Amino acid sequence: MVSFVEVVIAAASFGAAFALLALSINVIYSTSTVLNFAQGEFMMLGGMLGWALYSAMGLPYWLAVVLIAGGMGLVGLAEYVLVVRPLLLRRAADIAIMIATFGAAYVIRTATALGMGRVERPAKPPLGQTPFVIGGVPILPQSFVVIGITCAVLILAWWLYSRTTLGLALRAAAFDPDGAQLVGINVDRLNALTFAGGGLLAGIAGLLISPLSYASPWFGITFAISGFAAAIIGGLGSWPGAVVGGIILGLANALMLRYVSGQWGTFATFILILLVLYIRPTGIFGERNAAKFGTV
Amino acid sequence: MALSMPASGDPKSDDKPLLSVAGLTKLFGGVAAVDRVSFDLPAGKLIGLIGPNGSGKSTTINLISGLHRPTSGAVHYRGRNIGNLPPHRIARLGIVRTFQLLRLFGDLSAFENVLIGAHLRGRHGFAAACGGPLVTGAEERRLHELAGNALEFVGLGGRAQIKAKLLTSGEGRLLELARALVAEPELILLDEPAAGLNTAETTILAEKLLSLVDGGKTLLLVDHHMSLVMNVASSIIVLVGGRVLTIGAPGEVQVDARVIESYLGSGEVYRRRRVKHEGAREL
Repeated sequence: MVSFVEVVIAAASFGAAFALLALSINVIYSTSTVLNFAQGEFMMLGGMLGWALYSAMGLPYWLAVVLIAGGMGLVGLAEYVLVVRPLLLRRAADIAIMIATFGAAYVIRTATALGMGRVERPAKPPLGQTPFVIGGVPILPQSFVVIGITCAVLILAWWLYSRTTLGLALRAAAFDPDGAQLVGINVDRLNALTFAGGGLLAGIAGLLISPLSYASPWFGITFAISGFAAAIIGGLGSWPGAVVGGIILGLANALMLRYVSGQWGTFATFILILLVLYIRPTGIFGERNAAKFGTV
Repeated sequence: MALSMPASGDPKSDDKPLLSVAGLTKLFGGVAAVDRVSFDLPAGKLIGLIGPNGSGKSTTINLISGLHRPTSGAVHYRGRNIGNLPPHRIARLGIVRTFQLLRLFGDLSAFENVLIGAHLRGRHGFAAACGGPLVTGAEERRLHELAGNALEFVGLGGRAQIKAKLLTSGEGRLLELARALVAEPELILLDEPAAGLNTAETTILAEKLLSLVDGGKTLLLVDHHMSLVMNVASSIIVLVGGRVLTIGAPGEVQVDARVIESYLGSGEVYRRRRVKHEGAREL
């Protein structure tokens, strides 16, 4: 029983990080309808930068967080300006934009490997390695960090979207980008902002998860698969969906890892996606398209 | 803003049209949806734009509001060519529109839909909200009040918190009107605002439109059927096959043989006569 609880808490920590990545995918997708496959590499880069700034260079943790948040925001913005925007402005097909984001992912991965080395780096957890023992169950301090920061980000994001003018504009643009322009919203600028936000969130997710595994230039693809899986299981564009999808995914991965074998983690991910999509093609909380077409 | 710039500074400004369309052309794959269309909209008037299906009415409105870019020709608003401006810039200049097919933000409440329109005239606007600080508390309260007033004006005060996608189509049209009005535009483009409304709702709409003209607004009213336009417009532009057939007072246009012929071709006159006949019987 204790080991099961241990597994669930490990699952929740991974799940929280994937939820953060799924959230960052949703932030970009729901306003621009771009599926940004570079998100996994953003997460990878966040982890690598975390290792470099905190573990290797010894900067204070809070400073590393601020630098990574700002730096990854700029990386997201750069991807929008250099890769996505030129295609959006000329009304390129969704699939063309998606392939272009694959290209951006490859560039980020290769540049990171060349610039920071091709090996796995052990990232130092900010609160140390000694587990807290609660009710006989040992819990890694990093689990609290991951879950706590994810919860804080979720509350902040909820407030931004539901209580501010910017959030109102983002929701309007998500529902109907052309219509939003006609009521005076600069959708181009909102898109740029969501890519910066997507970079920031994915970078933080990478920083958080790296002490639980390693930081490596090659982890981006796995992250991307997990993040998109979480977003799709929960329902693309849905915020509660991102959280629930992330947790389900973390749980499936952790249970497979603990009770079957590590090699089966990805297998479990895809079986889950297939099952959920077979039962609910829009994902658990997805209703975006149905809502959109139901309006006219 | 208009009030702070007295007309005395430019004595001719009163004679100039608010909006002037010259040689406007839009090709879709080689087919001219709008073909060298020219007309003026004088300030403070309600002008009708009519024509059979596919005559280019909606495309003309799409060109003026920036949804399409003209293939050639120009749209001058207050003497400035706005033909190549993006839609959000045109909206901020004071031209707003409604849609033939409702274009509301369905996931947002009726109130939030109007609030978005209100931000067009907010001191900070979305420009600031998207790049700089969030709208301040006092400004936000003022915009909330304006949005509430606009909803009351169209009679949707009691439906403020309902999601737009749950409103009836008649309520949706009124909501679009409220969203357009709250921005205090100078020019309002109305694309078939009476479509789907019943007779009573159409009468109320006509009253609202006339009261807007009394308040100094300029309106371009697109309609497929002639009944509403004939009652409220001071002048009517007739489009056929993407070209201007004639421009004149409602009385003249109604008896113009070419107009009748173009409508006969699509059976519209018959339908209109029948509607009129039934309307008379109800009275």
